[in-house]
Amino acid sequence: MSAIRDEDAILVAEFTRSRRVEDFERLVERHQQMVFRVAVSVLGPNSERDAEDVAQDVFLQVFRRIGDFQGRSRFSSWLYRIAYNRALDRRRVIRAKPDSAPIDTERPAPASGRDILRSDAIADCLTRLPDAHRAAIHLHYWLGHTMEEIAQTLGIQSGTAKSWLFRARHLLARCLALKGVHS
Amino acid sequence: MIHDHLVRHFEGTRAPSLSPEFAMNLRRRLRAERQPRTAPVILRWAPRVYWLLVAAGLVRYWRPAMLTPAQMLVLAIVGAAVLLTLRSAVRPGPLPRILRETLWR
Repeated sequence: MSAIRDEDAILVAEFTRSRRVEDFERLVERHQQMVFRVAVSVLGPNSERDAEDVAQDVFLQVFRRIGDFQGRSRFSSWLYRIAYNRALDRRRVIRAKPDSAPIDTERPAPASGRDILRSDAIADCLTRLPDAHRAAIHLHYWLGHTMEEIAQTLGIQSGTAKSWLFRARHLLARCLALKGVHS
Repeated sequence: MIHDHLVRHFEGTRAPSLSPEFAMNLRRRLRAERQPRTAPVILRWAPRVYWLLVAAGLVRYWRPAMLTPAQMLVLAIVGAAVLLTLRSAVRPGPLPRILRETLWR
């Protein structure tokens, strides 16, 4: 972990000094997948194009304002926090558009009618979760992140990630029960 | 049980992946960012000329009261503080960006 941190610190220092695109691209290569995953975890399935737009905007913002990084936290935490906030902004924009397709609507092909109902109910309940809780669910169940990875991605403690997931599952179970889907 | 429902719900959902164009598009945007942005000469000079004329008008028609060096220093400090406050106050926050994206998308 410390080697990763040092590598980032070196790359940030090199880019801050040179301001060359080539130096910045080395940072992009190291973090583009994670930035994209943070965005997609907030925006949900079927929003990959939007998540890519968010990732591009994040890297452009960092490129312009690398001086804002004070080095008090890890570069990756700072970067993922920006990505998380940008993705939340984008989600609000998408939801505010009257003609936008609802997000979180991609479903796996369920086997039976009961599965379809349950899948629809889960998709609907997911959209009602608080942003952070929904992101934690997506990171864990969809993208297969461990608690540690969720914590690192969202810039929180591992215990907090665990409690967010617990709370998210509790809220989902309650929402599903209200819809007549019992666990 | 809710755990099992979620596992089943997401197991058929395709894992997201970056498109091959992502890196290419980003590189193009980064390179465009490096290009110096030069405004037309008239746009650069119009505000300068305007303020020069304003300053010339003030010198010509306004007779300021005589200030001591200490008063001038205090005035300069207060003026700088006001300018800094105004600059931070008018820095655009997330709201204008959200509104702009809503309108343009």
